[in-house]
Amino acid sequence: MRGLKYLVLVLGILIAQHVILPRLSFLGVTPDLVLVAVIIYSVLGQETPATVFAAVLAFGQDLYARGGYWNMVLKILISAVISNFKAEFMGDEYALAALLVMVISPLYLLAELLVMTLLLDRQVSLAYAAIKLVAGTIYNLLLVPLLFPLLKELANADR
Amino acid sequence: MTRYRPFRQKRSYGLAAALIILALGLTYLSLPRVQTARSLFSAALYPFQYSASAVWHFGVGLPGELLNLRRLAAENTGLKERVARQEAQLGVLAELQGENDRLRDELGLVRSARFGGKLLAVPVVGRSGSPWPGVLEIGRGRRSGVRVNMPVVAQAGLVGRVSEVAELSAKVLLISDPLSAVAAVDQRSRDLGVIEGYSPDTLYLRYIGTGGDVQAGDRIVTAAVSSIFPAGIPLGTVTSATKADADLFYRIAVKPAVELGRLDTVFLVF
Repeated sequence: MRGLKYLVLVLGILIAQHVILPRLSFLGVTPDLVLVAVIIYSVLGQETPATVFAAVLAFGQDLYARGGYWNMVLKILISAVISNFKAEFMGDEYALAALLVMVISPLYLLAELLVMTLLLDRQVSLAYAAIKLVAGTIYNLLLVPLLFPLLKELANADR
Repeated sequence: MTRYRPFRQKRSYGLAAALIILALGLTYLSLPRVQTARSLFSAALYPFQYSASAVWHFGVGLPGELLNLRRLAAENTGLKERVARQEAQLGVLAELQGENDRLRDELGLVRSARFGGKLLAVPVVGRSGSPWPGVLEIGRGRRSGVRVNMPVVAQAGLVGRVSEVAELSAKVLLISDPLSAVAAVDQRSRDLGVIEGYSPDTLYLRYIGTGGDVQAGDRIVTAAVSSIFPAGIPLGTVTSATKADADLFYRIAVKPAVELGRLDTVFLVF
């Protein structure tokens, strides 16, 4: 039963990310539901389930994309780092998840912009970069209250 | 004296490291079985994607359209007139194409790639989200005769090309994707360059040197030198062309002809 819940959640997140959310994009910015889910579950869940969850979700996200599996690499790293440091945190898990989304989202988008400029030799305008960072972060933060209750229920069932 | 050591639970990064190595291996090894797995995954997800897309269309898109019936009726009349005009022009263009082919044959020139005359309308069922929004998923695949590198167009111009094919769906690399590069020509000055993707609203025309004559407002279309895209498909309109003294090439921004973020239906060129 728990396996089925995970399957439905993973499927729902991937379908929402690739079918629904792109229709709600603003100035070319789409929220990263997968990133937010990985961060929240890494805060709430235990280390191994969180790593596997991040890997499966990001793998599904990369299967929609061009052929590289960079989402998988980055999101497993994010999950591992969060799992390592969350034990030292004493406070509200919701606040921690929101704070991490606020910090990691612009870093993730910045990594994308750096790849475009350094590896793909694209000139990125500062205005475009600023809009993408701010809008992307706000969009991701709006997803936290939607995903947190769902993932909390799953994480509690694991404990 | 007992030495105090703060307690810290040991962390194991073995699983994370193994998964990262797996991901890097999948990225760089190009194993055929991975392609098969991707196709199977796409086929498995397709019913859910299509259903979600249909629910969105009927739940959100259609009610909005129904509230604009008068506008839709006017648009319908305008489109019928436009189709009638363009059908009349097609006859003339077919004659010109035949003459062009005859003259090129007489001069010993190779015929450029062109439309085979068949367009297949396909629905857009998904798109890759952040951070790489440059791929569409369309609702036709191998079973419908879709092949890799098939051009994809919309009413207003070029959308991209098919990059991956599964049984029931296929992925389209958009011209706005940073990895996309399309041979292009300025329709007025005939300067040849390459359109590279940047964002859904902006493309860049590169490799136009100091002798070039590209101005804001110029129309950019696919070039005849392309082996994938037929010549003459609109790519976009130049919005700015600037060059610093020290630069070798112009920096030319192009607004795409197609609204790449708002596509619901595209056409495959057979």
